[in-house]
Amino acid sequence: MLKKRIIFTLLYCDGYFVQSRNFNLQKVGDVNWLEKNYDFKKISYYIDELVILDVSREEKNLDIFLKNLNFITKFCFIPISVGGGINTYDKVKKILTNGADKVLINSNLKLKLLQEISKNYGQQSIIASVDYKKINGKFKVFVNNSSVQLKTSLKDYILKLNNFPIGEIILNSIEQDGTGNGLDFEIIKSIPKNIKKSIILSGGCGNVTHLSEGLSNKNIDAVSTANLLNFIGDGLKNAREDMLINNFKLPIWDVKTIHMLKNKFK
Amino acid sequence: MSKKEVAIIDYGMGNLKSVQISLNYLGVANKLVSNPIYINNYSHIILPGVGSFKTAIKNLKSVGMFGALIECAKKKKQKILGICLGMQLLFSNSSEGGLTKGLGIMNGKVEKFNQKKTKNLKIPHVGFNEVLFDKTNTFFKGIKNSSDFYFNHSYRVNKFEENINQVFSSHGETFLSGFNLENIYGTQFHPEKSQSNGLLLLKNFIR
Repeated sequence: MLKKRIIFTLLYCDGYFVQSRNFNLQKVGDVNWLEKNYDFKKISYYIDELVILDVSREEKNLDIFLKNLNFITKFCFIPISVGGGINTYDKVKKILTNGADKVLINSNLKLKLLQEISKNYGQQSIIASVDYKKINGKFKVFVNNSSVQLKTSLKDYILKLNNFPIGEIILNSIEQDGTGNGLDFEIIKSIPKNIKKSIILSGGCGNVTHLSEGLSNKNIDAVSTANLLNFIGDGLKNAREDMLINNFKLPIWDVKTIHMLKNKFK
Repeated sequence: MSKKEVAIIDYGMGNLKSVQISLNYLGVANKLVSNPIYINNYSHIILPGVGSFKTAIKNLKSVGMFGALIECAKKKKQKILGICLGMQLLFSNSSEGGLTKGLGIMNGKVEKFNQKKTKNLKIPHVGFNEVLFDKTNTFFKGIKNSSDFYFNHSYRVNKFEENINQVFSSHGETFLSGFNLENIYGTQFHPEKSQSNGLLLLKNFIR
């Protein structure tokens, strides 16, 4: 049976990792801070997937970003997705050959680009990222760091993406983002039936109850949290262990075995 | 060739770094190899890969690896592991992007998931899923039956020859998620993305 996934999202901005709240960024620390305060390799043993987004508002430096990515993920044995400002095939190629398994595309979900990527790397290497907000009682899609509203309704947008060559759809609530107040469950009703792509819910997840609520929903395949501050220390470890005790169908592995296998052949 | 050293075949198909990270963690010498003249210097060969079957075969041919891998498989002096698309490439052919001939080291056809059987399920098949195997399977030695491994694919191997120590997973239908016949190994899932379960499997392959 296919298991549900807990995804941790790291937000990277101009050399720093940041906490976002309603898409406003707050610096938390650089790569060394992250290593010191999180011991990131240990975090990665308690999550199913890692997403790293370059949300630098100024010019993005892909080379430095990938260097940081490789530093963080040198002990990660889980899938890694990268997003932020991806608008050309060449960038995708560079990212997918430098340590990432999937790319997240948000503002540039153009069929031509998606076809170009999927022709070489397959549709399973693309996650369509959708930022949304309720405007006058209706869910609307936003792009370019939530600064531009699209005309289309969220429902129509998802239906369009369902026919595009992508593997998964992540829905980010701009209003819940970084609040730690819980996921937006109203959105689930807006997801059309018979969507063939995996749905990842994001925004507002601040504790184990939120994770459990999200993953209990049959229409949700994965839940993502970017809440660096709420899950500091053993936060994710405790959340996962708690959910496994309560018979959540999460993937099972043994962290002790990972430690034991280090330098096995040396 | 008593020294263990792994060649990771580099033919421009996706994330080779994570395979390398896993092997480094296990403490196994390894190198990305794109030139077939060096391939015989290694005790083990890993053929990774994500993406389209057609592009992958084209790339393998253009770097001269297509024939070299078939040779290595025949000589049986080295162990070969195909991961994800890499496993599919070992088989006869694939219908992805128009019928394309594979390496033909194994007999079997790569086809899309059965649409009827998966009609209420998501495709691609993404995430950790259980893998079932016989107790006697040495490739999975030390791993608990129905352990979770990470998958990400829309095609799977179908109509394969039996007796290849096959292991199975289920997504609307039961499909081949791995095998081992003599020196040839394959996993539809990503052991390098499957925490302790995957590391144990890579350890078994190297051993």
